[in-house]
Amino acid sequence: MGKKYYILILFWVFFLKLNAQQNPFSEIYFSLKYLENMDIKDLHEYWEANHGAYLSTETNFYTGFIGIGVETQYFESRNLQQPDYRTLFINISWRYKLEISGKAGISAGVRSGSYLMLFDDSEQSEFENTESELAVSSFVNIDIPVASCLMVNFNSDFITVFTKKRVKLFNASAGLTYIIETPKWIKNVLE
Amino acid sequence: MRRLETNIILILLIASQTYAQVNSDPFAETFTKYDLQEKSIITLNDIFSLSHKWKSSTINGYSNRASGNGLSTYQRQNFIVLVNGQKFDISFMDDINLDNLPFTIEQVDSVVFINSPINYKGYFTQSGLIEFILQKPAEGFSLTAMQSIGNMAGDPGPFAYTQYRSSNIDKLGFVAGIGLTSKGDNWQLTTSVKYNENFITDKSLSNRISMLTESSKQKLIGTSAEIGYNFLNGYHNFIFAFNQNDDFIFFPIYGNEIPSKRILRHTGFAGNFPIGKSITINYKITKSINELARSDNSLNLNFDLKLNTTVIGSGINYNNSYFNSGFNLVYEKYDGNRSGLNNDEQFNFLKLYWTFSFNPLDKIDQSFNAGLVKNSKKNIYKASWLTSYVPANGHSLTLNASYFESTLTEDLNYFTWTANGLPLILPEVVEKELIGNQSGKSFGLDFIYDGKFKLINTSIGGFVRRFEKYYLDNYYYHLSSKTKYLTGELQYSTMENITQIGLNAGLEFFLTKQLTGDFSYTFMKGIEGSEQFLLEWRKFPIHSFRCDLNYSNDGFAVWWRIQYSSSSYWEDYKYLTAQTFSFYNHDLKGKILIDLSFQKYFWNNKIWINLLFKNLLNQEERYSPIGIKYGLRFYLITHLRFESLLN
Repeated sequence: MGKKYYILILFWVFFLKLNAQQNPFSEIYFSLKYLENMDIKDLHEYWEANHGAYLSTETNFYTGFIGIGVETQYFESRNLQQPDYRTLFINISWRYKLEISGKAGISAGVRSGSYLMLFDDSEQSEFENTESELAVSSFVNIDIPVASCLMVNFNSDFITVFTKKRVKLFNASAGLTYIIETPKWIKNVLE
Repeated sequence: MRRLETNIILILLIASQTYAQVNSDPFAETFTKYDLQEKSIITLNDIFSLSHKWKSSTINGYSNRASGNGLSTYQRQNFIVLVNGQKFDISFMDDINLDNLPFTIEQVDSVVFINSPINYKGYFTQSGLIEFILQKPAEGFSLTAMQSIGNMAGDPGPFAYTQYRSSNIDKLGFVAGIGLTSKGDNWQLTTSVKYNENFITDKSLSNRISMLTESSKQKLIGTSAEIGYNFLNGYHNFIFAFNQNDDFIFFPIYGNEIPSKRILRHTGFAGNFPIGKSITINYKITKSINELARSDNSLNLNFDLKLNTTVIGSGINYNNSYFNSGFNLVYEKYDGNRSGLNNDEQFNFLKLYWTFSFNPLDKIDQSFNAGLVKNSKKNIYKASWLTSYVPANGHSLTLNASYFESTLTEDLNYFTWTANGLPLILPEVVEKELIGNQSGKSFGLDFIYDGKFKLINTSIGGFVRRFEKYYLDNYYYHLSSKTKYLTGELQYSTMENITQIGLNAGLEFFLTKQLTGDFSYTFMKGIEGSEQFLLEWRKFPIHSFRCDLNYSNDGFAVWWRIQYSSSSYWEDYKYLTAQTFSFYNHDLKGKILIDLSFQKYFWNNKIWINLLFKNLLNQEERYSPIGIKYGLRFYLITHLRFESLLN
């Protein structure tokens, strides 16, 4: 229930601040993060979540930042009845950042997209080895600039995968973000 | 001889201006390509969600049975479908799947719904009409494309390997289409190809279909070409279309789906040209072939009818500053090819439509529409009389009083083609012939008030309709525990009557330059009549409302919809509720649904991407007791538009 309120508040912020950004798409942020699972809720009985990685690209939007990304994680089975599986979370994200000083700040956001599960199950057909499902994540991110074009960031992320019995994951991650000014041709495409 | 010629010219001169339709506009709802994008329309079947006056029901989730403003039941699917003014005969056996039209939503410029019985472009719209106006090509060479992919929540995910295993919902339908257009000084060419596929994964449907075939995928491929040219100061166009839909057609008489290849071939040539300043001549010649061809299934079920349709028509329109007048004459031939007959079975119709519009008083317009349909057995009459009062600019009140007759022959459905005693499905699974009264009549009064103010547009309308001496096919379905098929017990009845009323209100508001929205409410109920007809009408929700909000700025938009439909009751399936422990339920509960969409143009409006979430609250969403259950789902829709590439 708390997550619903979180998303609702972010949605209001999105509308209230929609005209705040005067120069959208002016910068591009490339991020690579290492992630570690903190909790896998009901999956814990059957699988152990290994570390993973998150690669994303963001740009400043009319308000906040919009981006696309892909996150991968490996789940190791605790017994023979369940196969190991790898996930790919291909998502679109939006976050709103409260800037504290310069580019340093704390941001809150949501990600949504297709959560692809690739099962290491040689007995099943190829079709059943792969499954995708809608996933939504709410996250909090801290950015600390270390150079004019480089930031260190720390992230906590709560993911819900909308399977019939929900998959819920809590991940923490840390990584680097590299910032460039948007090339004119890319800006033309984005606009 | 000269006197005869003069008389003919005189008759034609006072004949109507069928295309002008001054007074019929209030009963037309038009949605532009921008509305289609804003309201996240993905397939042609989705357009029913545009008009709050049309109700629709679906079993498989990708094709509908529809009713326009209470003009028909879900049993009779006779609304007319036009594409750029040409009629497409896609109604076949009381089934209309708009996706059988061979173009995608990307190629549509606007959609027009006609919600009252009137003469519209040479057709009497007694069951409603939908017209697709396709986009005109840009100068030079252009390329358009679209695709949509979606997924519904509720798969088992990794829990498939645990005690929490559940069935796979799998992805939603895939839609893709490409259009190539070219335009010169006096000509234009439009070509298109489209491909759809849908997966039968919902147990409500797959339980029945899996007993007949291993296939669990519906797939459709369609292609079309339109050549238009300006000649004799008029416009003339030739349309060719081919569509093949490997589908599972739900056939009410059988009670289950039958795997079939639905094939449509259409060629049409139509145009108009003026004579002087006041007279316009129009003509049309169309030929189409409708077929439900055999598709592999374990019972070897096969439809035994190939329908060749020929339509030849012409009209003359005259208008001056005092009146508009027009006369249309259409000959239609339906030629059914059956395996059990040496000669084809034929139904021929000669249709005459006349419209006369004039202004008897300042601020009052009148339009009289009359029609005569003549076939070998009898004459069928249709008429409507529209009166519009326009007290001020932007405000109008219109009344339409209508009367029409209808017959079984016009319906061209299962009962029409089995009247000769031959079965329609081989091997013969049902044998039912309609005996009794086969013609009905209807009286109606429709009204609508439209008002335009500074920040809001309003529309308030309603109707009272009386249907008399109609035939109905009533079913009582049971589940065979051995085969998992539904078995239908058909009881047709004739001399059925109903009086129904409807009320609808719409409000369009413009809060700021960026924030707009609309609200609509409809009420529809059968208030008096025979029991079977009243039960049939209970399939429509009595109350429904909808509110849309749209924020758009600088190529970016957020669209939000909340809608409510009250419950509906389906007598046909009342025994199934207990038999299946409510797996199928004849009482469809009322539901509140919320949709949300984020839309963005890229590359100077060349690319448009829409991320759409439907049923955000993950409510049980079902539109037929034996149909699939929807829940939370999301779609990614992409449209590409590259215009005037070689200029």
